[in-house]
Amino acid sequence: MSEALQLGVIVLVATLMGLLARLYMLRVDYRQYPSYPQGYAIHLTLGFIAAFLAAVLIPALLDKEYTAVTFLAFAATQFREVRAIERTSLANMENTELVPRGSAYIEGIARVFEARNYLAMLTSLFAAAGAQLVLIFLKGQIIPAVGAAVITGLVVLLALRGSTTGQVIGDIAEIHFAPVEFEGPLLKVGGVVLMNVGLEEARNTLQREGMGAVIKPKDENAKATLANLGQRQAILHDVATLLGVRLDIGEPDFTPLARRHLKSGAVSLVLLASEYDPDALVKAISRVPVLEAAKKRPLDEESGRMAR
Amino acid sequence: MPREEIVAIIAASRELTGEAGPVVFCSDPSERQRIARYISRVTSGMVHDLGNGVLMVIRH
Repeated sequence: MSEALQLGVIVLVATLMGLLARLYMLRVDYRQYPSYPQGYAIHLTLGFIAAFLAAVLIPALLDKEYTAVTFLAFAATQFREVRAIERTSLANMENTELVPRGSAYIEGIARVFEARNYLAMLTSLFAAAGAQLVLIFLKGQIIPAVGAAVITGLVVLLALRGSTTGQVIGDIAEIHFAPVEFEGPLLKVGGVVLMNVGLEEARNTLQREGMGAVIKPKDENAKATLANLGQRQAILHDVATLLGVRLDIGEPDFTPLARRHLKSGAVSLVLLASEYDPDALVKAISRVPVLEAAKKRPLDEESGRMAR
Repeated sequence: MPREEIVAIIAASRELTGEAGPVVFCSDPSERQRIARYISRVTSGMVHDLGNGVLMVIRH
């Protein structure tokens, strides 16, 4: 088989593997959208570009075209810009959300978006490398080379899968349903005062149909993570999205709120959902992702361990 | 710049408040609730109860 054809096949297969990796990662997390068709187009096109750039790198290097590496640097710049665009567009939409995501959550989404393009690049790179190695050792047999590309690509994909799914709240804390209690105008959940509800009819509605939950951290690291405002806002946003919130802009009485128990670090929250369903609430909270920006690990340091 | 803004105060009687901002006096509790509700809807504020016959509408 002619060299040009060999080259073409390697690049094609490697690019496909990278694209497949990107497609796979699209499905892995429903929360990371895209929730609209153009979103799919954007993600897949960028994934394709990333994969293609990585696929041509190895043949280019073997041809002693070392300047090909600058393409990768160029790609990195582009992806960083795309991340910034993503962050800006999400931030612009915040004031259309009844329960906003918060900047920490947005940052996390934008970062994951960038990271997934790099992962597509890596998959494609390793696939191309695998194919090239086989071509060298088996002296130009194209079918085994393609097979090697596919296998390498799949291995990398499965290995990287773990890095795109992070922890969820259910991993770091215990979640219990707790009823909404009132002490005069003060709304309490799990002994923590969440808000002062002045309107009687709002009090009655919340008492009847409001749901509360207590999130107890499993260790000091979890306690520090849950203290983060961005993390709590993300919990409220996700739960409100999943369960529906009876809220509108002119009526802030039913805004979901989360507050800490100052000593134990447990977080109490209240939500007036579309439907009263305690199990759904607990499940929804447990599936909220732990934000990278919120993650803290005081136990890794000695002074953190001492201050228990 | 304060993040929270007192939009209105609805008090049961004159002794309970100072002279700051829009104050409405009303001795009947259910009437107070009604006034507070209307003000809060119009201004997108939240009603809070101080427990001594004073309701506040605050924009957060």
